[in-house]
Amino acid sequence: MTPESGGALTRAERALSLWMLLSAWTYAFGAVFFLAAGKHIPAVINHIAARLLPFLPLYPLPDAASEGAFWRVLSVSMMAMLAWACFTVRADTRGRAWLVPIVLVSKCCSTVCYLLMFATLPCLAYLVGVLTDGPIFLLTYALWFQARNADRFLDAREEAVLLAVGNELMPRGGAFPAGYADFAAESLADTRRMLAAQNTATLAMTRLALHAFNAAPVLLLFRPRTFLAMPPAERGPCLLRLESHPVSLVRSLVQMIKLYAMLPFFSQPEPARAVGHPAEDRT
Amino acid sequence: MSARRHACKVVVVGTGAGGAVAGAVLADAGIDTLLVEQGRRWEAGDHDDVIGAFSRMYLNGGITLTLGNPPIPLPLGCAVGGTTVINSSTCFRPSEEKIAAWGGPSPAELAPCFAEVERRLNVHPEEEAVLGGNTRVMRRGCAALGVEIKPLSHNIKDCKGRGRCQYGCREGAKQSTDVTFVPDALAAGARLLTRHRVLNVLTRNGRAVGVSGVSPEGAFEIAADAVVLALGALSTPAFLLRQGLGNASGRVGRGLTIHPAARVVAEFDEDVDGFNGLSQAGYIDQWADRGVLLEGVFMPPGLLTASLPGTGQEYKDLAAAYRRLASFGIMVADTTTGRVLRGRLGNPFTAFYQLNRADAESMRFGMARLAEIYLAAGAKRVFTNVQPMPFLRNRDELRRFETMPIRPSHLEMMAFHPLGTCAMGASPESSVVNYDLEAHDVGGLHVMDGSVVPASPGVNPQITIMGLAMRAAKNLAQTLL
Repeated sequence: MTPESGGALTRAERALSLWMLLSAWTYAFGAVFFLAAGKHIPAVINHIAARLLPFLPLYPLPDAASEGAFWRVLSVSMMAMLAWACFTVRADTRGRAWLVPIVLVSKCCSTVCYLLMFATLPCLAYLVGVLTDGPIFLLTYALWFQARNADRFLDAREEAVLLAVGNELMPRGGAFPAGYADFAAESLADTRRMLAAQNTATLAMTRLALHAFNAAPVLLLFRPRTFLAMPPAERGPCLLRLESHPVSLVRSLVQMIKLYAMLPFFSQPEPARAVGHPAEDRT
Repeated sequence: MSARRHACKVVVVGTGAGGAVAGAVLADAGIDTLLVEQGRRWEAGDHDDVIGAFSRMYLNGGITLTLGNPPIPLPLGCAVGGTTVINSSTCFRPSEEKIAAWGGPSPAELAPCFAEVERRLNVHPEEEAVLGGNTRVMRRGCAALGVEIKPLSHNIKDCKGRGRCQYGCREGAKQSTDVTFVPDALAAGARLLTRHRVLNVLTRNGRAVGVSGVSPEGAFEIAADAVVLALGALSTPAFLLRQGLGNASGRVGRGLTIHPAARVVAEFDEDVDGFNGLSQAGYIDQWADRGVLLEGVFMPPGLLTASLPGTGQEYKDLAAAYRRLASFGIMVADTTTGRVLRGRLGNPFTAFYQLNRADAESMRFGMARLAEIYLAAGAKRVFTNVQPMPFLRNRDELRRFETMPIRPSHLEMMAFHPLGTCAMGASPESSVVNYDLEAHDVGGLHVMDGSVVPASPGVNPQITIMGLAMRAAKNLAQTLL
């Protein structure tokens, strides 16, 4: 077993490590099970669907046994690869966490494919695929995300999102000269001060929220680029549309990010004085 | 490693509105009392800027919320003094009708407790000098419409009107429990453990006999004849549910009310300077019978502007108009009830609350009344933050706002008063604690915080909680002496 990279694991890393151990054994067992009895799985699901959910169409079983065997070999090889990746991460969670995206890509891909197939033929077999691989993807992603840079509050991309929002809300010039860019370092330091008191789960949610916000133009507004990737001139209208989005959770997300940008900005003495508020002493 | 052990007659967990009062009453009666607090003790001179306040004195850095559509932020205190350290210092007694509806101690029985609490906290209507510009413009609009606005009563002594009630009073003027009942308890012989997090109630033969938990120095155990839980209406039920205690009725965590609140901001041509003076100074109770109470509220620029719509130079212009902004809040006596479950992923609790349509209508009604008053006072724009009409410029738009279809998810809300999750009552089948606030099914386990208030009082509840805790603590002292 390879020794762990550098020092004791953080709580988040320990959680990921444990999940990798569980996953490794699950995939290893899955590989053996698929090899030995995989051909029966679709038929068993169809049997259950016919009994419990008769209104659903049945999954079309392969015409020839040889066709099923061909795909089963591929699925067994994939399970074996996932089991190896998880065992390897478990052995050195900090040093080899970069292998986790292999699991993520696999589970994300299978979830999306099952979802698309379910949309074309709403049978139980596809639904089982979505309900199995979807939660595995989300849980693995959350634990990996939390463990990554666990000693830092925000990574470079997350800070870039805040900076982009701050610059959009408080551009230089106009009503008063100072813009967010003039106090970016101080404001981001104060954002980190805000985050320092959050528990691990809330901090992870905050960081995920920043990524979700960045992806929102693509996912919710069907724009070709993320918030960071779009030209600055497009960011304002995009922010406005998200701010007035019909889904309250999206509006709450924008409010939260505005708060993380504006409260630190106006905590700096110069911007505070520029709007007529007395600057506050710090202790 | 063995746990550090303490012993006392009564251990009180939490030093907010309920716990501090209970501790002071018990210690004053000569009972060996130990107060245990998860947060730190801060002095007036320690209080930091707004961000420092959030990170030091608010639970989870100020990020606590109820889950629903929309999610509702519900900030809570985490320090000696609990939420009384970071509340707006507004004091109301509950109405006699509300007390009577709870079916427990009568208004006459509670009145002396309320009076004693108010005396100790120096509760009084604040003087004109600290009511500030925010109240001035509201008063002008009210005068034009024939609406009465009154000064709120506060637990403050020698207020300088710095507008920092919610971030720790640097003047030491605010009479939160960390500077009143906690020192009283200590002066009467009680002991205080800070940064001690209680994790379990110890029980023997169905009776509470102490608590255990962790502190920076390690594990601890406190043996006691009685345990008073005063963690607040979100943490107390989550704590009991995690341990499976006191829930024979199945009511622990149910019945959550929060007084959902929203803010309306108005832009004027003149300087309002709302930051000069109390942040919450005046109130309008003309529509209290509809469950709507309007209370002044003003905030520092970072918090106020973050809630305003817009981007770019237009948004910056609005932020630059900070001195010309006024703001007032709507608080609804909710008919909605939510639920608290045990905490997950390191959170002390999980709370669900889905505002019903009737309460959403009440919220819209309150916003409309505020917009009407602000427009009468000469406001250029009134910001409701309600989609699809986030701001109003005239009466025509106000009329459209009042008639447009509205759903709870259209609203941007906050809440500050979680209550009702371990409701008091006579019946063990339908309530968690009796009217002496002792758990029906665990002897020696008492709950003395906002969770025992069985229905929304419709007013800021610190006096209600303190009065109920005082009465219950006096009764407990009598049984122990």
